[in-house]
Amino acid sequence: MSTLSSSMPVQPKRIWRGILIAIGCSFAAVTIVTYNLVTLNFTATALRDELVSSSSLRTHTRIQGSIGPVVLSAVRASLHLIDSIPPEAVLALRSVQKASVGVYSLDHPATADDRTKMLTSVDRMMQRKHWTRAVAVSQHDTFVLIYVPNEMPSQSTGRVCLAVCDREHLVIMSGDLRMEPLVELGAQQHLLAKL
Amino acid sequence: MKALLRHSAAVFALTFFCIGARAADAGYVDLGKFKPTDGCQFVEVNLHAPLLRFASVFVDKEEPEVAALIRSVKHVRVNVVGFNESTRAETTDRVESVRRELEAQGWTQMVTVKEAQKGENVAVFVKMGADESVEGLVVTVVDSHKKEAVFVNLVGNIKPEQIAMIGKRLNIDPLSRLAVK
Repeated sequence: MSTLSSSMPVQPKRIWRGILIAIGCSFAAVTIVTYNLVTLNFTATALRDELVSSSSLRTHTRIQGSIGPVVLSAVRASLHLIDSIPPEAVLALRSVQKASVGVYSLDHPATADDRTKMLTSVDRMMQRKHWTRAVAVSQHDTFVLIYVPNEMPSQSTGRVCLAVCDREHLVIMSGDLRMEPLVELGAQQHLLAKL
Repeated sequence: MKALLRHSAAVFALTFFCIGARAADAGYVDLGKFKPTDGCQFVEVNLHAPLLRFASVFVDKEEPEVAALIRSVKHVRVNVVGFNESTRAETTDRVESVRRELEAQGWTQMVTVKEAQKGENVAVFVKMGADESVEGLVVTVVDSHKKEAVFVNLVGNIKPEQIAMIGKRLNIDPLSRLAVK
């Protein structure tokens, strides 16, 4: 009897503790998801930081964020409810598994010296991370760098990390793409014939 | 801003037709690093085997023989280096230096074109494999009118008659114009 009476007050405590833990976990989860939504992933962050630190560029964030498979699935599901979305856009979105995008405005354009330094410095940093530069283009005021992993994760999934810089903006993008929807899109648009 | 995003999307798509390099291959040539000249065009494309295999998936369904051809290529590097009057000598010296080095390494100079009117100076070198296949190919071009130098290194196990097809499929102009019989 005495045992029963002494254990009675403990149960509400446990319930409250459980509720507090659940609230804490939910809060942490929401914080993590929100943080991920408004920041770039590791590779994109490293690329952006190296570009900026190796040059005289000064950047101001315009848009920045990442979306993972869960959010993308929700977006894809909601697209079915909207009639005006072109089917090609739906197909293209189906290929994206993860994406991280940042758009920054620049105080002044990158000089030729900046571009040379960025090329050398970013190459070195990305090589340490086992990424290879696939494309570099410098034309007029536009500078483009595209990196791909040394090894592709699978035959059907590709990863890419790119930076595009013009007179006023720097765009960083990193993403995982599935091949099948892109192949389907390519076939629909007769892209293969243009290759 | 819209143009920038459109540009990003276009190059993003282009990436899936590119691949990386392996220095151990006999046909591989280390062309070294190039740097952009102020106000001049600069393009570098490095396509290595995993990326080429990945790209071949694109064409596998519709054109399996083209996919097999792309898979036979181990590495593609293309450099287009624009020059101005202050960097002209440096760039042409670089082209001559690459040509001399290839000759010294026993590469066969297959084509030489010097057209004064067009301002074009083209040299094509090949490294043949034991089975008469091409293990490596280097195209060097100096175009005085366009003020640019072009370097192409193709590595793989390629039949000579397939080179132009690869150039056409990968959109490498100096290769697509190369008709080898």
